[in-house]
Amino acid sequence: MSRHQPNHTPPRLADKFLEFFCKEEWVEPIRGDLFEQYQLDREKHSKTKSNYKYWINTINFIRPFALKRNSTTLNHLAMLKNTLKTFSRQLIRKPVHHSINMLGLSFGLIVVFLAMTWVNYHQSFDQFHVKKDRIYKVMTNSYSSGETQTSTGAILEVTEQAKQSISDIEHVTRIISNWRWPSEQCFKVDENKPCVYSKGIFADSSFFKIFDFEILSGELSPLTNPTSIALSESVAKKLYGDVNPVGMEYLVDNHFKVTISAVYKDVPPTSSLQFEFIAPLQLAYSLWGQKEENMKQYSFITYMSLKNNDAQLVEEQINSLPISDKYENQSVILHPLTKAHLFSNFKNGKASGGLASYVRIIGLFAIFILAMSMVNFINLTTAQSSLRGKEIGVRKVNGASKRSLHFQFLIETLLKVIISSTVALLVAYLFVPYLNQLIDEEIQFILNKAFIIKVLTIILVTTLLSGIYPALVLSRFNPISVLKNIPFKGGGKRNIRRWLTITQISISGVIILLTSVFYMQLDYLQNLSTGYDRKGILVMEPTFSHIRNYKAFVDELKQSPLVSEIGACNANMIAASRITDRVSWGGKDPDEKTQFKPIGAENGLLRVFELDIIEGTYFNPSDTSEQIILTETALERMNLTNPIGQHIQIYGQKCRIVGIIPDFNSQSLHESLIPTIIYQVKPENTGTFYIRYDQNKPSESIAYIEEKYDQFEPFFTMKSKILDEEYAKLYREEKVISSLSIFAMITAIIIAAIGILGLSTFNTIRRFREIGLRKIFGANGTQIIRTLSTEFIWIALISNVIAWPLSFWIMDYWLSGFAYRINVPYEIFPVNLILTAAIILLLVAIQSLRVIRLNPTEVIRNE
Amino acid sequence: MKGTHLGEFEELVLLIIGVLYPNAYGLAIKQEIADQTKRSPAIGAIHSALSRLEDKGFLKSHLADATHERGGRRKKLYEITASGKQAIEYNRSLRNTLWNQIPELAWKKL
Repeated sequence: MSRHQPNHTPPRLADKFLEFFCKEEWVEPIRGDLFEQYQLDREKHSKTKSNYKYWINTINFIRPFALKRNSTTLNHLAMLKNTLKTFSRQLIRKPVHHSINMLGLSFGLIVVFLAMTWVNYHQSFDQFHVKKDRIYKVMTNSYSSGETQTSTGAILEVTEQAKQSISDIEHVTRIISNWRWPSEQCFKVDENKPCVYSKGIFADSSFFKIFDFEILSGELSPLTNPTSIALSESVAKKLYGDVNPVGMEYLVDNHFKVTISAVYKDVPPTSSLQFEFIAPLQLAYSLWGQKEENMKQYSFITYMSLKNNDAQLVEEQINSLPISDKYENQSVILHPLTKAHLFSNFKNGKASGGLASYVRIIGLFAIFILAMSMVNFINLTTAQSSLRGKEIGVRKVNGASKRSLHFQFLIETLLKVIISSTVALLVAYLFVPYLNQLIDEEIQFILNKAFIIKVLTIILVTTLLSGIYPALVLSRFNPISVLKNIPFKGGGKRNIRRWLTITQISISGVIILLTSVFYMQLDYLQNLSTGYDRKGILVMEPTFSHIRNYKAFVDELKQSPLVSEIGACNANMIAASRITDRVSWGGKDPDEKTQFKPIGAENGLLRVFELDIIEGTYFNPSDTSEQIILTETALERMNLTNPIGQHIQIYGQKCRIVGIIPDFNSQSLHESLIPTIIYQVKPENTGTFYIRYDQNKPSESIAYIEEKYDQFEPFFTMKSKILDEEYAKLYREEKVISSLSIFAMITAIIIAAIGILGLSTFNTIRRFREIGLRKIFGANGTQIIRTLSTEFIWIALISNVIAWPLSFWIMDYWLSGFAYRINVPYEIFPVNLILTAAIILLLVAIQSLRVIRLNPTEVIRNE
Repeated sequence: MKGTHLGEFEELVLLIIGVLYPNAYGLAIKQEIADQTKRSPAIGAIHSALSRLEDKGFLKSHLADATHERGGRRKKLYEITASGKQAIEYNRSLRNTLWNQIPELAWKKL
């Protein structure tokens, strides 16, 4: 830069600011540097940008080394000491009052911390993979008759071609999981011991390149060899004890020889992929007796990691691959792994909710409850403020400014909040195991950075929200009247306090209303007819020898009256997942894309599920041609007249309709009913037996079935489930929500009660003399209660008026997520009004009784 | 006692001051760091490090004459002291010793 060029002047205010905070000795060199930098910036950038940079650079000097040592800091410190001393004296002098005050706050905070623990646990899912931000779960959208269905996974040949031709895809792994067989294996090393049942997955060898599951011993890429298997630490321990099994051979299903290639650390509970063993895909094919090339058109759960992380581009590239034309009504979407756990529901092809919507509901509950306990805190603090009158008066006379009093009371609130949060955090921590029982989950108290930051934020926000108002009120006292002993008129405007109580009761009203709707909806779902009696059905997994000797097994079982029916099926009857639109019938509109659920079964199954033939006949087992039975809705959708004997095509296969059965539900009732078609399969091609046993003797029946099981298959141990329990599990999440909201409701009611009690105590104390006079003039108890409670009747009314529309709106939103839902039950609104009014009046009456019993002369004499 | 440990950034600043001798002052150090390492630390961070290093006794400073470019303000020029030199030498020899101890075999797998 030339010496004669005029200099640009940096913003003056920034310079002033620097002088304000910076030590004198540093001002000159720093200013010089900033000035020089500014000249350079001005040559390159606009004036505005340079000024902005100058400011940023100046502010950046607010660091300990440069700051002035301010002499006033010492004074602040002394004030702080004094505040702490006053605070501790307060606590000692009025322990009950202060502990009730803090306990109320702790209540709210416990709920908040528990909710946070839950949210934090679920947010920590799948976060431990190094590549987590580049990993995607592949989902498939299928379009039919204007609707989009999203399913997990993608067609093998599509992902195969994608991997070959799209350079941004780093690794792809296909996964087979959640099949009853072979995903669940009966591991048996010792002949004489029962099986160790373990759930595992089958995956491509790139699995361990995408995910970070720690391998403890053995090969780092354990799936390269098609006849290998890797075991989790705990399964290895159960099977082999302390011997390291790596390199040993094992017979899968007692006939297929594999080598144990590695032992990996148990999968953490915060992984959405859970597996106790993992084996190459090829092993699953071999177990199924399938060739690899025959699997190409099947859909597999698929994950991929990207190099440049442009998911949208890769999505487009996959969907424009030549092979995608083959699947014209489908498109692939990439769902980020880190979101997969929280957003598992899809609406119109986009991730819409799942756990995340519960996170929101629970968050709302927690904030409600915290708000309520803060209101209590404010009410109690200001109501009792007269006790501090003298202290404040003396402080003011000695020259305390309003600001220093604000500071003092805010610090006091902060200390109280810190104490209550510590208590709440401890209680929350200890309560987590009980919470787990309540909600049937395995959440852990994870004390990570995010959690600590949230706790600190909550402490800060709670302090500010609940501290500012009392601080303003307390610092407003007039020192003269306080010191002259003129009775203090009570802190704060009564209207504000009244409105706070109204808010509180509105909130608890909302919580009570919502909880009852949760319960009603859940109850509705669970009692909704599935079209058959769910009780007394055992779901049994057959082994090869049961399937091969199906007839003999059935005959053997039916010999006892404990077993009435048995049926074989190739799908999960309560959560059937296979859906297709490749069904065609005579007169079908070629553009129509109605979806159907094909389930393969034999006659026995229909009897187990009490699906009586309405029209036509059962399957004819001796006839090997393709036969189907339609449900009523399926028939309705096809709009066939005289359906029996007609032919329709499924997957291009010609099938004859032999019968019609009533509708039944084969899925969770979140989704709307998809019409079901049952086609005849031989027992050899099924994977599940359903057995109807005597409901009145469950344990006896199951023991009997187990005995027969062993008779046919001595090697394995019977694996069975009770259908009704499995059905209840489909609504586990709803159950969790309602247990939690019951918990929240109880807390809400307790806190509201404390609030009402606080306000009514305050009011009664204020009206002591009035009531004394009333009594002297002949008022009786009822009249006095009436006088004291009129205000509260209004409070109850207004808070209900506020709570009704708010809770109606939330209810309607929540219920709209269900395909089968109740209407908003209007009768609960007036019930809530009566309930709140009754509780409030009861509390007020208890309070008033104290006053009524008083001798009026005592009150009046007390002048 | 502030301790004589040398942080990574402090070491960098110390080295750069050596490189710039005798013209090492705040902004020049920042620019040199930007040129040599492609990082761009805030100028406040540089001064903070300089103040720390001076407290530890690794640097000494004096004020130079005022110049036009700086709007008539003086630069604070820094020099490495003997103990500063000792500190970077110690870091260097420590690194070399450790480096020499890594067996050839460790590199083979890469």
